[in-house]
Amino acid sequence: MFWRMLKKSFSKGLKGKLLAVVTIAFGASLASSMLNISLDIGDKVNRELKTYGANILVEPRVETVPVNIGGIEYNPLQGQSFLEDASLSSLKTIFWANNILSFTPYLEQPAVTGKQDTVLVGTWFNKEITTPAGEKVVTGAVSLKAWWKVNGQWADDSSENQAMVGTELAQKAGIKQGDNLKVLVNTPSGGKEQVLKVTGVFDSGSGDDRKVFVPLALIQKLQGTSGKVSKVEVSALTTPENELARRAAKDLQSLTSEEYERWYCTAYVGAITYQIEEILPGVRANAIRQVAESEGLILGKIQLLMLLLTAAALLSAALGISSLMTTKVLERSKEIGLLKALGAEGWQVIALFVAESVISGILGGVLGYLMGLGFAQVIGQAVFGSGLSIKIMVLPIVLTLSVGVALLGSLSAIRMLVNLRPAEVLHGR
Amino acid sequence: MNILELKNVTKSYGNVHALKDFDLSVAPGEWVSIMGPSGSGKSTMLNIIGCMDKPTSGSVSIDGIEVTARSNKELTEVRREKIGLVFQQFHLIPHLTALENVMVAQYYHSLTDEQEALKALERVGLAHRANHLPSQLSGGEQQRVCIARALINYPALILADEPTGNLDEDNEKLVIELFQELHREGHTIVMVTHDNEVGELAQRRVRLEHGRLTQIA
Amino acid sequence: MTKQAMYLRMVTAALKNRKSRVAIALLALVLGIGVISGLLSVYNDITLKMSKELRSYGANLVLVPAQQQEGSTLELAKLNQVLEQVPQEKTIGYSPYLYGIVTGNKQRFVAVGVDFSGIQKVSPYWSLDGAWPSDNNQIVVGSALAEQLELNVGQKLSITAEETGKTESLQVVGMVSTGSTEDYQVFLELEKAQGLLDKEGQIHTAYLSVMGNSAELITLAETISQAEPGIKANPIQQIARSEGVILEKIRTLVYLVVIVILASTLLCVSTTMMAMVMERRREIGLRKALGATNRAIAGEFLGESALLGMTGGVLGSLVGWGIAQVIGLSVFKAYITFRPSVLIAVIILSVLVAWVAVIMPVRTAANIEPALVLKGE
Repeated sequence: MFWRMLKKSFSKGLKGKLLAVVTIAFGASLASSMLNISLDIGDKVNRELKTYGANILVEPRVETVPVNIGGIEYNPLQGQSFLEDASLSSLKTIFWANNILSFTPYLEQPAVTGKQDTVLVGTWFNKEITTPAGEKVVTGAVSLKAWWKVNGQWADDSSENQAMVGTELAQKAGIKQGDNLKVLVNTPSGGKEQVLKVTGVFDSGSGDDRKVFVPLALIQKLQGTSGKVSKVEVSALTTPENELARRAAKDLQSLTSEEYERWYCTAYVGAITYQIEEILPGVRANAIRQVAESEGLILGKIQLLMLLLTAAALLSAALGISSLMTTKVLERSKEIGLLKALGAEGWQVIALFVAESVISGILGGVLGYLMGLGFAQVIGQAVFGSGLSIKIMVLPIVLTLSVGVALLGSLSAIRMLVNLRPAEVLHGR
Repeated sequence: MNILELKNVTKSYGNVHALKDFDLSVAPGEWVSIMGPSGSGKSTMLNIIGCMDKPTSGSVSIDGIEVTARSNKELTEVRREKIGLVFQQFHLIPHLTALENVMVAQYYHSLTDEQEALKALERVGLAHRANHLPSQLSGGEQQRVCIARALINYPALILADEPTGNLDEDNEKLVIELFQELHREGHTIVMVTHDNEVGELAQRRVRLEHGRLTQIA
Repeated sequence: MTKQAMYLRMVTAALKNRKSRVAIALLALVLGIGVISGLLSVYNDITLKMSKELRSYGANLVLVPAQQQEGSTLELAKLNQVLEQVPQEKTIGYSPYLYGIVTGNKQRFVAVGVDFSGIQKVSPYWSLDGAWPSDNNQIVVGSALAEQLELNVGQKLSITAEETGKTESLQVVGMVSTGSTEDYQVFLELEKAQGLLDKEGQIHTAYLSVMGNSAELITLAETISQAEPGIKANPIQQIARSEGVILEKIRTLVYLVVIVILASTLLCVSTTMMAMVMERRREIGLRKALGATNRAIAGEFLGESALLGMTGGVLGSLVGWGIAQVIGLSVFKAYITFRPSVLIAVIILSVLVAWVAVIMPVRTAANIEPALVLKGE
């Protein structure tokens, strides 16, 4: 009989239930979308912060000290240690390979154009390389230097003579996009003249504006340093620093083996640089603190903000649902009075209504979860331009919340009504 | 001119006839009792007389005003002006005092006048309970407030639906006495009741059976 | 009493005497509105506060001599004049820089004269092991350089300027690491550096950290460049441009969340109102029997919801203020300012929500037939 009453209350009384289920669904969708966003936002914001540029610098271990003022190197011996560009693809084999978003090698060559002293910087613009695992990866300045404003086109890696000129140099030397630029370089095998085709003028808002960027292969050919680069900038997704990361940075030996495991398997910038040093022989990998530190700070704040927003939203949703459930139960006070008048025990009435609340909660919860996924995707697209990844763990959380809140809301009303005398309830108080 | 004139009134719901070819005239100052068992169509007829429903066919006129052809809005107006309603379940607004409940009728009619409302309560002997909420009044007192409310706009017709149905013996007596006073003062009363004793007190008794009228004295 | 007075009497009595039911609707309204109110308060401040946070990325404006030749310098006095141009409350910090090539411990490296208190504000990401210099004879050494020179904190370092041949013996009080060129440089008090390099009163560049978006920075840079012909100001776009993008995203996010919460609140309040109206079916039927038109009934419910909305708005603002402070303190470590405009907006919003919520119930009320409702049980 219990099941029959329960079934009937849903099939015949569906209209009333529908409103409850829809409201629970809405509250649940709010909760589920907020939770989804909260869990994913760290990753999303992290990627946004990548527009700030590289956060790791990889250089060969050197014996000589660089004498660098404003980007100009005054120590001729400095540039004589190199990394192999072929080994760079192994950056994508470290434990945290998936967090390495892009990397760009550099090789510099002083030059003169017209009457201006400048520097030719050989780099990758948008180069496709194959990792040791056989994966194809595209990386280079195009992704790393996201804040550059380019008037014209990026240069092509495969070309022998394309170049991009910094806006300051372009202004001083009167260089425009499409020009043929003559540069004079002093190479180990004597002075050489090179004609470069200017594909674009870039505005980086930094010292690079006085330089000329060309494909890496070109510089390597000029210098006879085939396959070599002098440093690499890396942009990686990192986890904000905490106590463990700081202790590891100070002294790695001080970590217990369990702590070491944890540190190694967390994407701290320190762990990533450590793994880079493991895989590339003879290098020094350092976090560019200006970027790495600040990223962590901003990320931390945004995650905290989202957490608080989520808590507020959950509270609001919970109260709304609970108030609705109370109302719905009070609405059916006559029914409750009647059941009691017919001889039902208090707990039997409670059981029936509890079952109804639970079922409404589950239905609403599932519906709400799906709706919430939709909302989360919309918000993800609107804010970050990409959908959010679905976190499965949100479903059980939302279901538990929906059922729990629906129960809490109805329980107090049910108990109050059940404790009244049937006559009071049937004839209205 | 008759206060109430029902001619050939039929009310059907599909194939079910709640009222069939009903005729009724009520002259000013008359007290008419409409009696009959449950299911006889008493409530339907009451709703039609009270301008809360329209017949499927036939004509209804209240104080000379033909209402069958009128819109719902106009029906509401006629009801406001001409009819005072007293219900079996003494419907009072639970969050307003006795005085305020009487004033609600004034509010929808024309102007609210506290003094007049108080006088109406005096008329039914409840001036001293003016500021009490319905929950603080006995059944009989609540019904008397309803009567005061029904009278406040000087209606042409007082329509009462089993006014003593929910009252105990003592309160029933009080309310019946009140109706007798009203009749003596010249009010036109149409009362629906299933209680023979109460019905006998009226001037004229009319009996309803299965939607048809049969007259008694 | 007048009709208006009676109207008010009925509307207030309806809410006062049905406390439990009203309380539920009110609670849902207060909380939803409260959260929205809190978020709106924070929304306004977010740009300001987050922008300040983003200053942790360091300098976003650099001042250089207009005639950019190798080794050309600026006058420190001129720099200070220029800095009068920048609004105080927007300046986070600045430091002048003077460079020179020196030798020490048989190595050749760069020495930089700076203002240490300024550096800490401009570049908060510097990681210092040890202490900042407290007098002219103390220096801070880049961590990589210290390794090369085999220096420890507390030791003395003798440096000789290549150009002038002057020598200074200075004490190392701290080691700094940034992961960038600073790791190979030595930092001394500006005056000391000026003396060492024979460049009294001169500097090479100055870095500033100021609050402002990309466009504001460009304007500021132009203002500075025009005010002082010998100086050119350049925004460091790597930082400035990205900042704008991030801030915009955060604001959009908060905005969208507010909308979702609003919709949810609306629905909850609406269903509660619907239940309230259904409960008062008999009362509505009675009023209609007494001659109330649908308009009159609608007017009464709108009055009740307006009252509910205003109460909800005021209480919600209080709750919202609390929420805003919690967010402000934990995320930005600062109080969120109270804005009267938010209070007014919230109260209006609350009334609007209550009105929209009551539309459906009022429609249902319009369909109530007095006859049906009054007939019996």
